Amino acid sequence: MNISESLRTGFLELWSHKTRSFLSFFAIAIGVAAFLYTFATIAGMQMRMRKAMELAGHGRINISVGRMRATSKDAARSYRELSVEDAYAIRREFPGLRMVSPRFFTWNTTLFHGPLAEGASLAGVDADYAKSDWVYKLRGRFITDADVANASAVAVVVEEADFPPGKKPAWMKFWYGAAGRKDPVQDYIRRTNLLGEKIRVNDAIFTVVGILEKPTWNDDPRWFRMSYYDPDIYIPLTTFPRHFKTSGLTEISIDTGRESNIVDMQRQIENLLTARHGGQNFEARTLMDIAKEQMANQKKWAYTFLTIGIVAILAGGIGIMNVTLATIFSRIKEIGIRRAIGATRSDILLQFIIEAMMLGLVGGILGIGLGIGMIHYLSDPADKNMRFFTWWIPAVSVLIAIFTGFLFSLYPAYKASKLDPVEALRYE
Amino acid sequence: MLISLKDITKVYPDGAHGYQALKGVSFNVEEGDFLSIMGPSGCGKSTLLSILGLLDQATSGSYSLDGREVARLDDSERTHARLHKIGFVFQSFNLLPRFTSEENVALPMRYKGGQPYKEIKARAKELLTSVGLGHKVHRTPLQLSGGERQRVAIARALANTPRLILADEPTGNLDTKSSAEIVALLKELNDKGLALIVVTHDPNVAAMAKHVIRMRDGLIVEGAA
Repeated sequence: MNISESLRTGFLELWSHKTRSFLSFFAIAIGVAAFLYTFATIAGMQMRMRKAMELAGHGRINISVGRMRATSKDAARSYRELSVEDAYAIRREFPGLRMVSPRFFTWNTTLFHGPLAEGASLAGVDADYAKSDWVYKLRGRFITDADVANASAVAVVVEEADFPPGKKPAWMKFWYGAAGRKDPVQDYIRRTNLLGEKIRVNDAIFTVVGILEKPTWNDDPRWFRMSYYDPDIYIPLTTFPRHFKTSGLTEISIDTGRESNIVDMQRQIENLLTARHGGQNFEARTLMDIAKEQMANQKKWAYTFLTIGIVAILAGGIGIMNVTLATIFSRIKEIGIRRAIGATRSDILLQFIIEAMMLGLVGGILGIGLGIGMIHYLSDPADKNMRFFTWWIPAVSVLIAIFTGFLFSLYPAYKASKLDPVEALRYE
Repeated sequence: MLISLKDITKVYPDGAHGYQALKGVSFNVEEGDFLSIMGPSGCGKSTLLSILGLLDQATSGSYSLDGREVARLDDSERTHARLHKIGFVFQSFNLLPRFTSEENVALPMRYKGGQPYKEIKARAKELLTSVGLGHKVHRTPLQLSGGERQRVAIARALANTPRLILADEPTGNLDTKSSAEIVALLKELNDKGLALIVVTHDPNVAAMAKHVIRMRDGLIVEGAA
């Protein structure tokens, strides 16, 4: 008995019971799609992490106020906020650092200009900020050392690029609707040329000296941001505390310039700050730490999908088992005939297993289509080129589907092969 | 000696003592013989045919086929013998409904293997031509008349050049004209040297046979003993 005979019989059988076949491979397809989506997302995540690391530099350390401030009474008493002086001390002590960028940040400001009066986010930074993962195109100028020295009332405004008409990515439409995310501040900034204008933030007046053109979300490679803060407006570091209430710096972002000394630098900076604060009430985390944390979050979510995939494939497998059993009952006579004319038990076994594997194959292929659709429509930014989508991901998914067919047809096929030929022939 | 049966019994495990379908049947069949088995329904002739065709096993007694004791063969050896030595013809034809005539005839050859499908197809067509169906190789059983279906079944039985054809009421589902054609075809095969064992009610079939056995209640009551 050759395989092509089994394939042909299998195809005829599946084709003559289209609905039944469809139902059983559909679950497999959903499972494969979920697998594919998960694989692709994990692969894409790793690729974007590499990109983000390259952009940010491998020597990045972020210092922020610790979440566990009062671990002991001593620490609570000795608690001081992260101050601008801390940043300057680091700069003084370690002149070799490529960047020491202290940052204030607040969400709770209102931006006024002409008719606009909307909530906007604001950061106070110094010139070192420009050394961090810089994705902007600058019109005018950025914050200078002079601005910081004089605590000037100047501002640099971020203008996020809009998608060209009709080019809004499908995933964004899916999650946020056809209109996309509402962002009245950005809408206004795009329409109005603010360069040289005076804007008001809460009660303070600033002159706009620069516009930072930011790429669309889709093209922004800073997926693993060193900080989560991505403000609409930048003002000089020293100007910030004069007009806005703060409880110290939000973070100090440091670039050691290279990866090799990062762990050593992390420890030295920790020691310096611990000495200054009289206890460790801050967190110093490297980009690696942050990336790992984000990866861990992403993984949790990926596992959820993987679980859905496994459950769907199991359901599909049970479906295949059910179909194979049903098929056998409706084909007892046929089995009898085949046995009478010389089919061995293993011929019969093979025939039913091959049929089930074909169901798995069809489900797998359908699942790849479904999965690619899912990735295209639901996935995160910057993935649509699918460069990470290597050939082995769909190949493995289809193999899993075929294997499911194999596994779940073993029992029914075994039962079929054990049928008594005389009884099977007599069966009507 | 192609077949030698000695004191074959068959007991089905039914009720307290079981149902005894065959109570000790003995006869011999030579190469090229034509044996007809007759008798009322329930006399055990179908059971006998299943045992002769290696589809079923006797409870006791000895059955040697082509010099080999069948009781000693395992399932795959019995299947092998069925594939190479025996062709079956059934009352209800037992063709696979979704397959064409050609594919039905090809099936035993495909199970046998070792031959490219092109050759198998050519041989299937040849066989169908020899039973007068060379022009209907691509029809499925549903597109054929009863007599044509039985001729396809006979072509299938001949596929692996067996030594023995076992036929169970081959004309039972056919009209008079088709029956006559099938009987003539079987006779022709026997004339070419093929051994034939036919279970039948049809006196026309029995008339053609070289020997006739009559059975009742699991025993041979007339004919070779």
